[in-house]
Amino acid sequence: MRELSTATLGLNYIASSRLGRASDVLDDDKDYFVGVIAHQFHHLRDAISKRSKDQYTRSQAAPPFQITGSADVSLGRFAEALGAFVALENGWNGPQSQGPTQHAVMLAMHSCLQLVQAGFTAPNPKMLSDGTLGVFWKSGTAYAAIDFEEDGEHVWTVTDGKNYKSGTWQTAEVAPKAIYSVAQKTESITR
Amino acid sequence: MLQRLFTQSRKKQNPLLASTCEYLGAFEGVPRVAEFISKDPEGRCQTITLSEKYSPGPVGDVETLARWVFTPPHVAKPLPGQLSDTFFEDIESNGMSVQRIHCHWSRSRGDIHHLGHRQVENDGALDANGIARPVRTYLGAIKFSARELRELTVEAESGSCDVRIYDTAEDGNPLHAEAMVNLVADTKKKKTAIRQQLRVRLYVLAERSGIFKSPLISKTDPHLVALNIAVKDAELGLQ
Repeated sequence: MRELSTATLGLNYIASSRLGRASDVLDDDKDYFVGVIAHQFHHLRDAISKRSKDQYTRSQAAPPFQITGSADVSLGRFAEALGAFVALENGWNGPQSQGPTQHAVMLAMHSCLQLVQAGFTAPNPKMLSDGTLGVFWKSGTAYAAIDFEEDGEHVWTVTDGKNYKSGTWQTAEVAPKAIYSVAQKTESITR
Repeated sequence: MLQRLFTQSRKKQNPLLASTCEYLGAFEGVPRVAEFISKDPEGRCQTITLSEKYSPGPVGDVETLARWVFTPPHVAKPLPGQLSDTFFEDIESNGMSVQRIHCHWSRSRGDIHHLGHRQVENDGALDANGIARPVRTYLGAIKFSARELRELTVEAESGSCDVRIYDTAEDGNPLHAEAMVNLVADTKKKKTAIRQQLRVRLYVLAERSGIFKSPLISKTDPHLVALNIAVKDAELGLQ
């Protein structure tokens, strides 16, 4: 825990292996972990926002992304949802259902921030009964979903309501263009 | 009065199959779908009723089915929010419960909604494992045809899926049925992928249907609005 609170923030932190190892040093206390998520998400988000602003002022070209006001709100909601998911006990949706592991939560946070950094509209959170976290975007009949797998190879599916495309994505790679086009049409959670 | 919607004789021509189907009709353990797939790998029990005592017969392709929508847990849990592909995840674990619509929707919706509201009457109480059932609100129902479900496919290079619909009628609910899926893939990652593909395809069916709201729910109910899909029968009941 002390390791996290004193860790270097910003994009280097996201890219570093420390994020992946962070869950190993986390306290077992769920409430504490929820607080950590909120704290770290807030700082990581601010770091991305600051970095993107710095890049914008130095660059002649329009930036590929900015964390807009609405995205900022949505990312906050996403962090809130992650915290709420962590608070769920096993059995929250029937006898065989489980809450997410701490590693799964950290992975979801990392992946979501990567997506927003790449210019995606902040997504909506979701969780399967086995504790798998994921995100989705929807706009009319168009729908895109990514499920975050603990091995880091996430599965995605996108549809326009008639045609379907799917694949896998690792956060070190460029996020799938097929999802980007759907994500940009959608509204993320704004409440 | 319930009509026999499937004309195949209920006479047990294959004793072994009949015995299997009878076993599945009485099965209440978990994991449910895995047991059904194991005992009925080809889905043949779909053509033989599982519940002779209560069922009007096997579920035919032409039938329309209704899927209740509650919140939570069907929407983007745990925050109230939009309907997502998680709405259909039961299809490969515990069985996706549906209600058979036995006559025109305008005449059957009252029963469908009444039963939907009845489902939440025991919420909050402890189940057999001593775990408190989550408290839910019944919002309405989504409709699709049995044929649409059974004809669902996934990307061939990933694997295959076979959706079955069994008539699992119950005492007090003779129109209860369950959709289950047998997913086949040669790697764990591919199986994860086709699970998602199937859920998204099912989500598209839900999106096309819209939600037929319960007359006891206002069309401005925040949970209903938050689903972010078309609301049908909005003029009925509470405004």
